[in-house]
Amino acid sequence: MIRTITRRNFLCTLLCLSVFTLSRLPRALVKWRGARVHEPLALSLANFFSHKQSAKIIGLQYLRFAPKEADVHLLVELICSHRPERRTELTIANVNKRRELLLLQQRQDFEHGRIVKLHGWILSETEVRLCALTALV
Amino acid sequence: MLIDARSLSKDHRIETEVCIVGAGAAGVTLAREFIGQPFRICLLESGGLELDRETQSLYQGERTGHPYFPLDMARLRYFGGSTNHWEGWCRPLDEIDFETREYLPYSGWPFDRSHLDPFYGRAQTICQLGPFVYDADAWKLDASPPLPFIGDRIITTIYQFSPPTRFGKVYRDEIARAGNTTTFLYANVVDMETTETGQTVTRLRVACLDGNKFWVSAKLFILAAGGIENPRLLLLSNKVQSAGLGNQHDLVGRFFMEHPHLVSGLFLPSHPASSTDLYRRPHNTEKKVSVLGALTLSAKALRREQLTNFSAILVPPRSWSQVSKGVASFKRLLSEFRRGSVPEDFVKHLKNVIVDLDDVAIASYRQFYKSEYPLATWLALENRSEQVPNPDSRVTLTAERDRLGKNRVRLDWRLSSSDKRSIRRGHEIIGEELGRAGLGRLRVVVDDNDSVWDSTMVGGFHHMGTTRMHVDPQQGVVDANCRVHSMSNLFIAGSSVFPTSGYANPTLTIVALAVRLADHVKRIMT
Repeated sequence: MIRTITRRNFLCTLLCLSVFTLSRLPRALVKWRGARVHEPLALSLANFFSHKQSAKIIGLQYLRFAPKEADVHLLVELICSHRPERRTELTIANVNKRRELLLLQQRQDFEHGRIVKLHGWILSETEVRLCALTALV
Repeated sequence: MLIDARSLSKDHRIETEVCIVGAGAAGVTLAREFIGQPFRICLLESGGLELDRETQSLYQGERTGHPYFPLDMARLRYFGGSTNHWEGWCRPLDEIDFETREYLPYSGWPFDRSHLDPFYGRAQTICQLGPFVYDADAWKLDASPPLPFIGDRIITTIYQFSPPTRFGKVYRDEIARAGNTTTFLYANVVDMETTETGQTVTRLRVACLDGNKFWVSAKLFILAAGGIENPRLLLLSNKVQSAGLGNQHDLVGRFFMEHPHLVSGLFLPSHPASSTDLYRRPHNTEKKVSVLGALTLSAKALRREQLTNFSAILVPPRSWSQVSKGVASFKRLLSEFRRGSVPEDFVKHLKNVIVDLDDVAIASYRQFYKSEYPLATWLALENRSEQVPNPDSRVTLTAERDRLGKNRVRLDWRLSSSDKRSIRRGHEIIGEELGRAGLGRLRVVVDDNDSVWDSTMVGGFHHMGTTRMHVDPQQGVVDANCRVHSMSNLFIAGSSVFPTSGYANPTLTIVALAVRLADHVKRIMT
């Protein structure tokens, strides 16, 4: 059986596809901007969360709130507090040690008021940046 | 002796020394405290020994302001009052609740918590509770220990549970046997007569629903009819003082307060759910009383942040609607569409659905496949909060009349933006401290629009503040001894005298204040 497509149906499908593509564009752009920087520590940090999908959702929300941080290199720098020794410490640490260090850092964030309120969530700056990294890498 | 007032002869005159109006927690406590005293007591109860619809309908009234329960559902009008259906939640008000807080208008009681402590101790026994101890650490529990917060901002406090004591059943025989006490059932006070100066109540006009009427004369009268009926009776008694008794400064009926109850946060614990066991269900103790833990802010944190008092317990979320605004909006839209209508705030709901599309998808999955997908890992925070005293939140009379020919009431419950702001900030602090201690993460679900309340916010059937206590007649209806300012022999018992409400369920404080008032009356009468 030959199915014919009317002009109206064709245009309607085209419109839907265009809307879908446009809606995905900002996310793709953010991902492209983030991924173009090669950052070995970023990959390790991005593996912090076991539920990556959830982390990505939070990360993207955060980047909407702080679009200037949509950069892998900058996020790593911020997570390391711009301290080279911290970067080294996180780089050479094994998975468990790195996890321990990052959890401690999150608690210190709360202690010192480095807190982000995101969609009602009360989160530490470190963890939202880790989420943002997960979304970008 | 218990007497059915309908059996009295028309215009019968009863002479007594002390007349108590209302046989709820306050009235029954007062009557018990007076047993064996060298003066006679007359206890008037509007209802009988069981619930009857006709009497209950006398509570009906209008509601404006924030949506509220139908007024004839909010209290029970028979012997024992609302203790006939209370759940038994008990704890005293905190020290800070009694303080004059500069940041909280109209705050401050005429005395501090330590003054009331001995009476709380006696109230504990009356409410069949354990020792007067509300520090979580002082109890040996079959539950996990309190959450180990760091610092001094969050504390774990305790609710004790009364069996619950049904005052009308537990204390009925004792009151019926008392030689100096006569209880009249089906007896509704419809007017309080005073001397010409309006400073002394001489007698009460009492009516039964079958048409019978009689008089009660006494040396001293105590209104213990509840937070809405107490002001109503004062306002109705306006023959000599046109604004009503004790209402020279237009305060009677104002400052109506409730305890806003709402789901305020969603807690995702870092550790197994058992570590929060203390906050999730009542636990038996070695002292044979059930207790439940709750999270509160320390007085220091409340003062520093200028917040009203509150507590939060943890409960498993009942549905995704509690977890996600998007799901709640999705359900609302679906139900409106099914009825063929579009809600006024359609755009707001649509926005919620789009923002929480992932939640909506999971909720739909749960609905279609009857799955238990992730809800079990969450805990909702159920908040009970102090309300900011607000003179515009009030009880007034309407033109409509009840079966006894008396004006019904209109309740205009109003909350202020600072109520909501305070709850939200309080939960942000809990979220910060949960994170700081590594205990988990909190999502605060109280939105940023302080002028609008979610429809899921309800009261706790607690009516307070409408005949508030203050040493200054221009700021309160009753003085520190619960005597109506400018009246020589009229007293008020119950939560209508609370100047501020705290977050604690009011019954224990009602009973403590009734015990205190009883001691005062004994001193006057002997």
